Amino acid sequence: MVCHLRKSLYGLKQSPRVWFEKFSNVVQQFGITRCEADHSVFYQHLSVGCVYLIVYVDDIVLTGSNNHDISQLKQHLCHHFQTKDLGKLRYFSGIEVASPMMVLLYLRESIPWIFWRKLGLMSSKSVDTPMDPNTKLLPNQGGLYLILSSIKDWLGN
Amino acid sequence: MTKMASVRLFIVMATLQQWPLYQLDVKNVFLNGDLQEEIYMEQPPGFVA
Repeated sequence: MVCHLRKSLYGLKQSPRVWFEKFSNVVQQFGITRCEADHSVFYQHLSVGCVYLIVYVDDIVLTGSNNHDISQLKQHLCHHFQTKDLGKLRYFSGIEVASPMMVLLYLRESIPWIFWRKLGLMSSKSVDTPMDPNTKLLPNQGGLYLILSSIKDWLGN
Repeated sequence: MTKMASVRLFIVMATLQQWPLYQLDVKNVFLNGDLQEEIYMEQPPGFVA
């Protein structure tokens, strides 16, 4: 028996493209714009706030200035696709997010120098991102990078 | 294809603004697409509808 396919299946060379096309259309129905520089990034700037989305195949990360807009976008996506809400971002595309502070550590190069001066880390060495996947981090090895309270103070500024 | 620079910028921006970062996963992702070309396939051996 020969079947005429209406929808895509795993293993077809068309699958990734038609998935992205479908996703892109659904997201844009929400009123969000696709970034010209990188088509996997979507954004919505409104006077009351903004929402950002980045997609990597089936993984989606959302952020924005207010939780209400983010949940509405989430609901929109759940309505169109079978989705699983993974809660707070933990791991995406090779970057593990242990906490916002860990992100700051990984991404030293992207952080304003004033922050590093404040924490007295101007002489610290930078590392490539994402981290070497084979690095084993052990609880009793090496010193503490930063004093937690000083970061908390800075984030509170 | 997602650019690594975009991912990093995305996460850094959210972190600096102290915005929450949430993650969603789409199940059976490649079954969602609508095909625009005509594609035919034979029924896999052993398949019983």
